[in-house]
Amino acid sequence: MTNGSDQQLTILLAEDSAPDRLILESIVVKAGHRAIVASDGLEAVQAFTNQSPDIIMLDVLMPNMGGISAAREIRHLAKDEFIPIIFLTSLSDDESLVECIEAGGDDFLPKPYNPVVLQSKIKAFSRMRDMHLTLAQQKSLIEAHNRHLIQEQTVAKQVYDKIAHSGCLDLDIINFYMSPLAVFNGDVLVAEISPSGSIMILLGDFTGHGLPAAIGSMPLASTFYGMVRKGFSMADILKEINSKLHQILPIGFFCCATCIDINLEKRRMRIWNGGLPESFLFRASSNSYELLQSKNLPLGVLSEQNFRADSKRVPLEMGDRFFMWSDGVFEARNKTGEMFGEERLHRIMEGSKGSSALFDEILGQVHNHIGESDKDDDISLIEIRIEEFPVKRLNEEAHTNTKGQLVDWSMTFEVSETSLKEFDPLPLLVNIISEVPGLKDRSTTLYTVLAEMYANALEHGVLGISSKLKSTPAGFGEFYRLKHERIAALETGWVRISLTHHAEDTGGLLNIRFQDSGKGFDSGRVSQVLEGASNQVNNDPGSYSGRGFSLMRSICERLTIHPPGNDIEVDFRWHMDDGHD
Amino acid sequence: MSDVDLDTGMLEGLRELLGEKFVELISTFNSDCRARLDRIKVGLEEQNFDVIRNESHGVKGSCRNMGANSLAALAGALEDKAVARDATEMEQLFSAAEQQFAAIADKLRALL
Repeated sequence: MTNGSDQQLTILLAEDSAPDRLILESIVVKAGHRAIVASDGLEAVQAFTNQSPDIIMLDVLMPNMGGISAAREIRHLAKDEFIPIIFLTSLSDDESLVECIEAGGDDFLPKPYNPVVLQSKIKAFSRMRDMHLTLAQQKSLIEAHNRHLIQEQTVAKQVYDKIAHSGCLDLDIINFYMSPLAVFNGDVLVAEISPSGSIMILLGDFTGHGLPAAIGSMPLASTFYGMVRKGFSMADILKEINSKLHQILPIGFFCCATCIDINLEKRRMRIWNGGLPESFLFRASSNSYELLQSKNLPLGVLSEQNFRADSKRVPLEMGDRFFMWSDGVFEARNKTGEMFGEERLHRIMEGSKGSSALFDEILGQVHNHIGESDKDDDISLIEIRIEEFPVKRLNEEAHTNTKGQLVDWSMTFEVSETSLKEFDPLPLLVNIISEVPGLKDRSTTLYTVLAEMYANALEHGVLGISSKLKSTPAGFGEFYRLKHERIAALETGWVRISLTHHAEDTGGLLNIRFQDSGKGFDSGRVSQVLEGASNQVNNDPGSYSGRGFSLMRSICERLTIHPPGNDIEVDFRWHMDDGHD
Repeated sequence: MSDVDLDTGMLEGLRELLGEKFVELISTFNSDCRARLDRIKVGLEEQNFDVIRNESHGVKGSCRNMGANSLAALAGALEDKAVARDATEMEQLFSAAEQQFAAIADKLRALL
């Protein structure tokens, strides 16, 4: 090889004149390349197929098949691969030259052949071919990456759907719309029923787009569901989600959110908003909207210490409707880039006030505005109708009745003075009880029992506050004042909770026993407590609340009060086939 | 008879490039050109312009490569006339080309 470090190329030479072919071949070989020779177009096409040359040189006028037809045929066979074709010609008219380029030629080489020019052209086209190869490789690499990315997003979406759609979004009173890939636009919507029968819903909008925006929704959803099911309060759940997001999200990433806790039985909702647009509550009685807005910072911005989870309590009436949305609705753009806008949305809200078709109307108008062209729709919209609705846990059918899962177990849990001040043991207890499949479905009822017993043990037992105070509105105030005062001043005290579960053929028996450090009261006077609680105001600070007592007796099979009254025991029997709560 | 224009410098370059194959080049050129001129002769008799055009185009290209510029010019003139389908003076051009070829073939053989 005489051309030093340059790579050896295979060059196809198609030329019908034998002396010209000989000269051409000599130049190519001398330059260090391999020459394949053909004496007409047919031979050239054949040689191209069999020997895949790097560069092709074609004479224009050849018998059988001319250079122009051969070039067309080769370009067709080569498909996307770039193989430089240089026409060898002593044609001089412009038309012929144009025809050569049209047929797929890249350059011309006139006769007489000049070795220096020819070698330079080979070098130049070899370089161009290398660039094309690199480009083609990079293109297929990008395509592979893109396929990979789509695949990853599909998997991520499946994982997310598993987490996010295990909730109660399919309740009849909830109407919601989320664009199919909303999770990659940073929107998240989760809803679940708590053991106390509240419907908790959180609508979140993470900053950014794509995977960075989607990733935060996973811990948010799993924290939300885990905690709602265990009976944690909205404040506790928001605190936990906030600190989790604060921990994991980089600076500048956070989650605007509205969280609501609707209790249809108590006809009230709690709402917390951080950074999302104001929510609308339609009031059926006054045929008007109440705007619900608070000025909290989004989730994930503040540290645990600075985060405020204070929510607003809003009384509800049957017929009310609650609406919330992320700002994707305002920001939906049409072809010319014009946004849907907050004003337009508010006009629709006003125009169809109280209409049952309002939800669909908003969606329809937003989609009309966007038109067909834009796939980047980023809309999350939720409506909740406040009406008589039996709130049930939705996964009743899902529980398994296999006997192998029922367990006999017992535990004792003691909460002492420091924990009594700060700690709420109920979620933990409900969580443990829920490990028994049959009890999981009854966790709302059991939560009520546990809450009642714990309140009695703490307030009337450990703190020694009389329940009679609660019988008057003024007494209520006094009761809570005393509770705060005594908890703050508490030096010693404990509540001991024992749970014992026995499996039975068709269900099980759960024994719940609360003992406390209080003085108790004479168990012999229990019946008096039930019948005439108001007589005992002054001399019986530890007496049981009549209301709580009867509530528990209605739920539990047996209630025993051990003297002197600081040791209460209930038996809760459950059967696989009875109705759950 | 017109002068023979043969670029000896170019031929020296070819001798250097081809080395021992230079002998083959000369004989190949002579036989290839001879065959093409024979086909042109038949083409003239049959008034086949396509044959005249293609063959004289081939002679023109080969002659340019060999530095036989006067013969290349004659072949080029024949080609142009064939493209234009103009039979006038074709015979004269062909006779001149034959003469030139004979002289060039002699000169080339003398180089060996």
